[in-house]
Amino acid sequence: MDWLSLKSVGKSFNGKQVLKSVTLALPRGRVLCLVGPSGQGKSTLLEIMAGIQKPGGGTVRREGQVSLLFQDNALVPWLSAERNLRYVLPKDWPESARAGKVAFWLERFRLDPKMPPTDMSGGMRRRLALARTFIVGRPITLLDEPFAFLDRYWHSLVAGILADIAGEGRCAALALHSVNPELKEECGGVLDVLELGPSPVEIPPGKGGEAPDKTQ
Amino acid sequence: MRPLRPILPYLVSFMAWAIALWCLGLAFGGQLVPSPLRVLGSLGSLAMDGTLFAELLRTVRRALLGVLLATALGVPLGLLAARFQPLLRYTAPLIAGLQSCPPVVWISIAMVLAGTGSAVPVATVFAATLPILFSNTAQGAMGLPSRVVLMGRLYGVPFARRFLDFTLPGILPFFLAGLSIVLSTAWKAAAVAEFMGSHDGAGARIYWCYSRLDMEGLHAWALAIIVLGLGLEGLVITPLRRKAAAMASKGA
Repeated sequence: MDWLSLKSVGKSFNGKQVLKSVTLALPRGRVLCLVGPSGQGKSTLLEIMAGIQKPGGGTVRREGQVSLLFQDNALVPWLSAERNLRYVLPKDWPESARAGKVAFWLERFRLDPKMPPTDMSGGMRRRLALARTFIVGRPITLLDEPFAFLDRYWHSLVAGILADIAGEGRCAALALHSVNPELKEECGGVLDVLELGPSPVEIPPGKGGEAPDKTQ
Repeated sequence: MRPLRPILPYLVSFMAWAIALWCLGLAFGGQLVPSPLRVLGSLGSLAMDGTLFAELLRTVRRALLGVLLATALGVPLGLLAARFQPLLRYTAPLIAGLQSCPPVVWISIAMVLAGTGSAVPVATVFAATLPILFSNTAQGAMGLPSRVVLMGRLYGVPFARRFLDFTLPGILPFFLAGLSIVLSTAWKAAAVAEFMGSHDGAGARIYWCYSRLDMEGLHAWALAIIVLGLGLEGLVITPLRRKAAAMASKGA
């Protein structure tokens, strides 16, 4: 079963077509990499998948809730790292679960709970945004350039988390310029790569991974 | 000398006032312009019998009530206008017009509608400060990062949390900057409104002194209003401006 599927999705901005008829699916237990140079509509496609942008045409079907790593992080600048994580947690979670999750993800990404994003480096802000994306544990995880500002240690950590997500039967889609070795190593068995370009793109639902592999 | 440094400007300004008053007294005669000593004496007796503090407190209360009412209406309206930006665009000339309106217009209207009394200074302060709080709040809300708004919707963050953790801290520097302008405007507008349309308060006391040609009293009340205005500037308005600037430079 697919967590998310797109059928003939297109998008234009000011008369310029950014996405031309994209058909794809995010099956359970898979990680899809949308690869391509800047301006090919990767971020737009992720935002359409997340539901924060409307497609110009076609249909989007989601079978679960989405979490998204925004390209610009979209952190609340004046909240501490801890409060940025708490900001997105469902209010029906018990306080013990909230506190435990927050402590776990702060520790995992080595973040100072009291530090606000305005005092952080670019890499720390990225790690906080990643922690916020993962903490909610939603079935569909979408990551826009998750490795930007991060060194190889963090590449491996994030790739490992993605492998865990796939192992739990959830799914993830990543927008990348190219697939890095850490991702290939950690997620090799569950990784699908789709190259976005000017032509229509189609992957039969449930059969990702047919597109050419672009290893860094 | 070093411990005196912070109060030196105030001492110099006080001396300049006293010398100017003394010179004017020489030019116009002691009946029209009293000597600084007589003014201070009058101020002392007003303080001793309790009139000074009671009347100043009345003016402060009216000014604060006007500001409070303007905040209660101006902030929600500003937030609403930022959400429906065409509304803001089409009402911009009206807001600019209201902001440039001299208090005397509001005083006259309030006197016609409410007679004389507390309603006039409160309504005047309210009308004079509402456009400032409205436009500052709207400006702050429009400057909130739109991607964070989208993020909040994506994760289903409840309205109350979005408002308390994101919207309010985001508009706070703009609100504080507006409040610093509003407080000095309110103080002046309240005194003028009392002068024209109230039986009591510091402004009304100036009118009483003027109508009886009690020049010592008039100068004493004027001095009290100026000193309180200075205190407001130094203890409230300047720290507010500094806080707003510091928060704005930190992104909140």
